[in-house]
Amino acid sequence: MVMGEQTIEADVAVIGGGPGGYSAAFRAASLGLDTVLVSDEPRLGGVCLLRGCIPSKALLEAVHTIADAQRVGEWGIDLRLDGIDVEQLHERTEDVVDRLSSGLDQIAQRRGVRVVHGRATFEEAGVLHLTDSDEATRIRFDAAVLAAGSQPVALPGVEFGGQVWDSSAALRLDSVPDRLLVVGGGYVGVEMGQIYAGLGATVSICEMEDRLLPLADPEIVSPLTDRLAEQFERIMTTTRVEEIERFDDTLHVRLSNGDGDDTTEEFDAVLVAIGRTVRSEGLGLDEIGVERREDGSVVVDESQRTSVESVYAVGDVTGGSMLAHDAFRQGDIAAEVIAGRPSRYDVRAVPAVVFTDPQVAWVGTSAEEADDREIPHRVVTFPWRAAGRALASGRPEGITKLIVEEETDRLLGAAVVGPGAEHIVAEAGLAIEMAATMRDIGATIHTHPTISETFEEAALRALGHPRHLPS
Amino acid sequence: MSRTFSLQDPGEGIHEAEVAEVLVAEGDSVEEDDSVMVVTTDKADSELPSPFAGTVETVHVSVGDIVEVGDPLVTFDGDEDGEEPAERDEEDEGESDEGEEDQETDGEEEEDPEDEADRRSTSGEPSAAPVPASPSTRRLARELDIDISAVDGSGPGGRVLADDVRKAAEGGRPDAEGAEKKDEKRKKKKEKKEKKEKRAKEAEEPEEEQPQEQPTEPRRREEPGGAQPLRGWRRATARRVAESWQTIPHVTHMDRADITGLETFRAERAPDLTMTAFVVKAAIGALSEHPRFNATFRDDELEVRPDCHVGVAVDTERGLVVPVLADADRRSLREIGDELEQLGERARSGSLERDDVSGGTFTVTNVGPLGGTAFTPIIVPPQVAILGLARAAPTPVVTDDGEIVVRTMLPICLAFDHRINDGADAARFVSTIVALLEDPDELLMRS
Repeated sequence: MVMGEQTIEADVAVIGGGPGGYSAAFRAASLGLDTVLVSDEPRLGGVCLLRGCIPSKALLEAVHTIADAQRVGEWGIDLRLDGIDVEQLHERTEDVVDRLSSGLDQIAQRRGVRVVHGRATFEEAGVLHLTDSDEATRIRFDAAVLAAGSQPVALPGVEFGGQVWDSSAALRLDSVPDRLLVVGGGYVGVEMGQIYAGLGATVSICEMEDRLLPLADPEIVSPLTDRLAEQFERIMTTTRVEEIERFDDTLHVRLSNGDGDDTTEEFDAVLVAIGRTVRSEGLGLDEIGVERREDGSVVVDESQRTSVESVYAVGDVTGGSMLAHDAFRQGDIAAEVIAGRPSRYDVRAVPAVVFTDPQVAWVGTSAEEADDREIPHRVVTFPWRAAGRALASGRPEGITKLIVEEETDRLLGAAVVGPGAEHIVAEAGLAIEMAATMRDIGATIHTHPTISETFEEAALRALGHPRHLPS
Repeated sequence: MSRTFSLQDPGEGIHEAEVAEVLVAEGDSVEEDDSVMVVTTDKADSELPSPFAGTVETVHVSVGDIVEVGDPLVTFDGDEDGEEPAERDEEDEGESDEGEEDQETDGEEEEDPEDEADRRSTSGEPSAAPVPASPSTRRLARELDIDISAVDGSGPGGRVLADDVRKAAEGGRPDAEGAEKKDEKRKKKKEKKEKKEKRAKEAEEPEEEQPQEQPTEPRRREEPGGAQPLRGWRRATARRVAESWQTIPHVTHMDRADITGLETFRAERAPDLTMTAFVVKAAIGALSEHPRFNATFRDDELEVRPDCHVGVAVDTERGLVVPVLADADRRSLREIGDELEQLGERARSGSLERDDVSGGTFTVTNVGPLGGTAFTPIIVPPQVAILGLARAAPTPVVTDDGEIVVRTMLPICLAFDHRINDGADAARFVSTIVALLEDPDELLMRS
């Protein structure tokens, strides 16, 4: 069928249906702007919802439940595992994703955001050209928000496919291999490793740096590493993959640990989780003059504006944290700035959570960063073994750690390990944004007995008088 | 090291309080959280607990003082917190300063932590900790185009409060003005010092033995028929109008508008709109023709305002309050009416926020519903004029033809600052208002 040239006119054109894109589109629409969202995916939600955060949380919930069932065995409760129906588990995960994605469709509809499927390329600063779309060939816009996202990085010389998985393939749960090698000890690697170990695979993990989660505070990673040491076959740090040879049923992986002692080992599947790279090619960015860094990430200012006045960028494509919630905020800011509001990215606390068991989470300034920036600070920890709730739950390994500005007693950052760490960094994030001091936190009553109490206790310890520790 | 306990924002945008009782005296030993004084705001009395432990070195205030947020109340000597500097023990968990990162990407692709800063071409706070202010306050600063890093915070630990930002926005030069104010206050405080020292001693004595030579001291319990100090809201109004009357040479220009036609129009087309809404609309039209009445004047500087925010006086149970209809010149008559209704309701229910009562560039006050043939309203500084409406009433009027007819006449009283405008200016301004009120069609044409 021959289509005529069809042009959509819009105040705002958003490119990408992930968290950054849909938050920008929804916010723009709520501000009364005529908004079009172009997505090259059949469904809204982006990697986060369709092939990332959400499905992995559904699977982690399953394996954490298995681990809990095993743990209560020590308390005299016998809940022996009687098989795992992987197919059903996968269906349930898909169901969660479907519900959330169709929820986004409904919101788009109700807010009057027009969703167009296709691939968008900038033709000029005010025009997008669409391909693979049966709805339009062009979008004319006053402002565009680029939210093209990111994609997994492959190992040099090793393409994804077959039994070499990226995180999306691993989440499809096509099979549970006997022997799985996870390459990369970042959050995707440890989360996926824990999922597959929980489903019965023999998991090994290798990481180039000398420890897992190399960017997190080592102290809070330590309890997780202890746990993973029980669940995984091997944790190989300072180790890199040199080569992967594919055979019919197995993969031969040559590993080097830097001492020149290469070993070749057999695995049934390899998950490569060594990071993500921005998707900024093929969008016509160079042609219209949008400045990018060497790694392809788009340069933006505090109002999320690129070097081209009418083009904004949010989320992974701008580099940075590559976290969905950061993209949400950036999307909101871009929309608000486009609507003429004085919104700026002046965020002080971007929380990050690794959803393993135990969880590892942090927010705000790390001790290391405070050192680098020469902010006088002190570090205070509260070990969960002094928290009634943690002991009752059988989780004494947790730690709540605060980074406190010396001069003002303000909270600069927090790092937490233990189940429920996600909630503590949420509160810590608010405390940081509100410039709360140790006295503010210490004087806020936290429910007893809860894990949240450890936040108050850590603040009290910073003030010199913890309640449930001698000093 | 001595530490000073200053008045913190007692909440809800209150920025001053009256000292009702001082519970400590110099030399007293105070524990953390012991009450040191009782202050009264228009809302309630509150006991202020000491954030520090230590010996009272100086009491900076005495009963009856009006203190503002940030003013010192009590200075303590002794250790910070009055506690042994806690061992910041880090031994338990093998404390390490090696850090986590703000950001993580994934695997080995992680960015250098400084990249986050580099990533944005930020315009400030490169190395120090960021300004202590909540996200909403930071947003407000941007809205008011204030560099928040240059604002002195009056909150705990130098926290910048929304009010600090507003003051900076209003004051232009916050530092200079603030310093001046403080000097003035310090002087006052010196004068009171002797008195205060005396009182501090007396505070140690049991109450019934209080010497009687302090009859001027207002008691906290009011006795029927006795003199009572003004409190809270009333006091605020008292001070505002006194300041206005003392500093502004007021002239009130009076006229009448024939609103017979307008009333007919209103009854037919918009019975739900108040006369005030129409007059506000007319005033906006007149202000655009006579912009020197839409202005602020302070520090000998006149600023003719490009924007127009009209305050409308509302009589409430608690007293007079003047919510401001923001960007009034950009609103339709209908929007003005709706907004006025809402502001009025919120004024009566006491739910106005500071934003709602600040930033006016002109004020309208209508006492007509309560009666009156004319009055002399008082200008709200730093504005330069206020329009008063008395009761509209059927009035015998002599027409151009010499006939006597009955028309509905609305008395209009414009009080203006004679430093800024002259009588002729006022006459022309009011004539424009009258003309607009007498020609509803023309009034509605005004955008």
